[in-house]
Amino acid sequence: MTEPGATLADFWRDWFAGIAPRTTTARISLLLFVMLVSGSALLLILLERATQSQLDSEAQGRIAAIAAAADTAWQQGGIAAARAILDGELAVPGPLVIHLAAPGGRRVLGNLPGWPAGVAADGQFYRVPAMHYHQGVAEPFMVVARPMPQGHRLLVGRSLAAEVQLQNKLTTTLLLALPVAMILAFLTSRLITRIITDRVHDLADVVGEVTAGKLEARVVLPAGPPADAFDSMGQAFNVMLARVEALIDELRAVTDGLAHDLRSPLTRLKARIERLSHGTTVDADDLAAVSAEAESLLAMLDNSLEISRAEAGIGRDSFAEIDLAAMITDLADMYEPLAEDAGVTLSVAVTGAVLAQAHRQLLGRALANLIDNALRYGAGGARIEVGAQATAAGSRLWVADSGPGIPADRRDEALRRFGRLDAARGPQLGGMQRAGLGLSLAGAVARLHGGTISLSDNQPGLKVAIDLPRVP
Amino acid sequence: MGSILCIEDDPTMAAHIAQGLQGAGYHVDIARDGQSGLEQALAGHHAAIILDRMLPELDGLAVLTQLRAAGNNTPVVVLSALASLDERVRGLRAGSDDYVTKPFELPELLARLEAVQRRASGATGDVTRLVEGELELDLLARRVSWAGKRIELQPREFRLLEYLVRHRGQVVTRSMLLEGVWDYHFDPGTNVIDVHVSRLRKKLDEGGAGGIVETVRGAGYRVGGEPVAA
Repeated sequence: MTEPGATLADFWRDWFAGIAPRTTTARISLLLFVMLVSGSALLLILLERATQSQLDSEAQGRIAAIAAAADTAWQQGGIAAARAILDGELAVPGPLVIHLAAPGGRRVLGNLPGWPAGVAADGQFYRVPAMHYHQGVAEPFMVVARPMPQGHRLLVGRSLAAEVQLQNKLTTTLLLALPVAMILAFLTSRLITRIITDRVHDLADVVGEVTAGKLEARVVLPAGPPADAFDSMGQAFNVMLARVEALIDELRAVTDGLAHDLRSPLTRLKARIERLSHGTTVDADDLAAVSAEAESLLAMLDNSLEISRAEAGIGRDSFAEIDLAAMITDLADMYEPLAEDAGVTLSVAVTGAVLAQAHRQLLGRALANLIDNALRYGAGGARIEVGAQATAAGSRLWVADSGPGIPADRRDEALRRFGRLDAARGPQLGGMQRAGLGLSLAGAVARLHGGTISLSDNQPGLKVAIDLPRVP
Repeated sequence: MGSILCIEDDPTMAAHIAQGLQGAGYHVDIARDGQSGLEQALAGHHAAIILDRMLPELDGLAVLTQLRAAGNNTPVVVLSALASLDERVRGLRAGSDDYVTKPFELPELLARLEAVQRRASGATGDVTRLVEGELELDLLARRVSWAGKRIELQPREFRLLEYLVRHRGQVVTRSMLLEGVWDYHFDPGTNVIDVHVSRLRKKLDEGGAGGIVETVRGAGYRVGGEPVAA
């Protein structure tokens, strides 16, 4: 069973759905149009009402004053005094009616043929729609009647013809103004939808360009902070596009770099396997070499994968509060026997706990890579220092060696993934590639934490520092 | 030995794992997709499950989640090419007991498979002292003695020895040591662990406990127990 109310609501909804425009811009137009038209109509109606009530109160004030004056005069000077006042009023030409009736209903004075029907002598105001007075024209009147001494009744009224005329004029104006308002509303709504559509089309055009492959396309925005929601949206678009472009560039660099860097170890691997397949016996050393080659390829892939994931911001949900000082001490402890065997002094510079929100596994891996690099390439100076300390902006972790270092003009290159500094550091190519990946992994992990990585001269040697903000 | 369920869609890989496990004395059941794997896991009484992640029908983590939701606590070792640190965390959070990344080495898989079964069967509990032959570890005072004679160890060396003795009779791989002692899941790349173990051995040797930490070629280390097939 359906409720009648619901049925009616359904009917109206269906009806509205039937006539409602389908596009957003058309809806905005219609809404604006309706608002503007009804707004101006409402304004005119209010104006008319205000005028009418002003005129009414003027008429009421005037007729009530005459009636009261006549009453007062009668009380003081008898009927003659009242007649004098009323005759005086009648003598002034104007839209005034007066009727003084004797107890029997006989007219004592006045300009009306008789007492109008429906008007009681009770001091209330009455609106008489059409009344004839001595000139014989029927007009609407505002009247008031009151009892007078000795059973007389007095009626005073004022013509509302002027008011009606004004009202008619206003109605005409309203009717004339409505089409104008409608035209204006129509134009305004068209203009506003046009503005909105244009702004949206700007965005859509940029998206279209990007989709078509022009990744550098951006929404044109005025300088300074966003002035409106469209500017904000454009800005958000641009930020998103910049990020997408950076990620695609990154991906391109990774695939290019991987393709390039995997080629030579894979070629070596293939050559070794071919040589093994020609021989009659398989040497354990040969197999170990093949295995080591495969191992280093896997390590390269692993690091590369972690870099990509860190650059893409994956892993932030694994952040937890950890003590960086304890972490670096732990890692130094892990590498200490290896350093000692290599004749390197590995010292730890920490003063107290350094708390930070971090991805323990990733940060640990990045730092282990840095220490490993320092042992491989910076061991010449026989001294490596690692440390952690709280800074004004957050915290700082560093690994400093006293090896040959990296010249200032090549540090950017060293931070790039697959960046190679064959001449500067490391005797073997394979090791050099790892170094490149280790630094770029540290960089990617630093950025994942909202931090930065910096290379500086340790005089002598290389100092790699990771600065992490207090809140990642 | 018990039977192992291997849920793996790549036939070559499944055959390789089955061969390796059979060589170690296990019976192996193989499931080729997630759905049938889950059914077999819920029906059978397997000692442990080796679970691939990217499977047809139902992916590995979904199998794991449903298995655990059904109250089945069979130890699960995830074996996956999804090798990043984060994927590993996700695997462990979903309820797996260990996570081995592809490509893997058979001895590593066997060692971890054995470790998860041990962990599942016997609760380690709050032990205060570990004894292996003449070797005695006082876990409260962090002291080691051989035949009653004290051996001085660094805290890290103590934890290394403790981990090995706790897993006595089992092969402990380098990555298991890195996880167990340092709680890091990455491959440090160099022979970091070997150097630590050789230092530990040197101190044990000096204290008279030479040869207690055995090297298992191609796999890792072992303290005590009978020789294993791997």
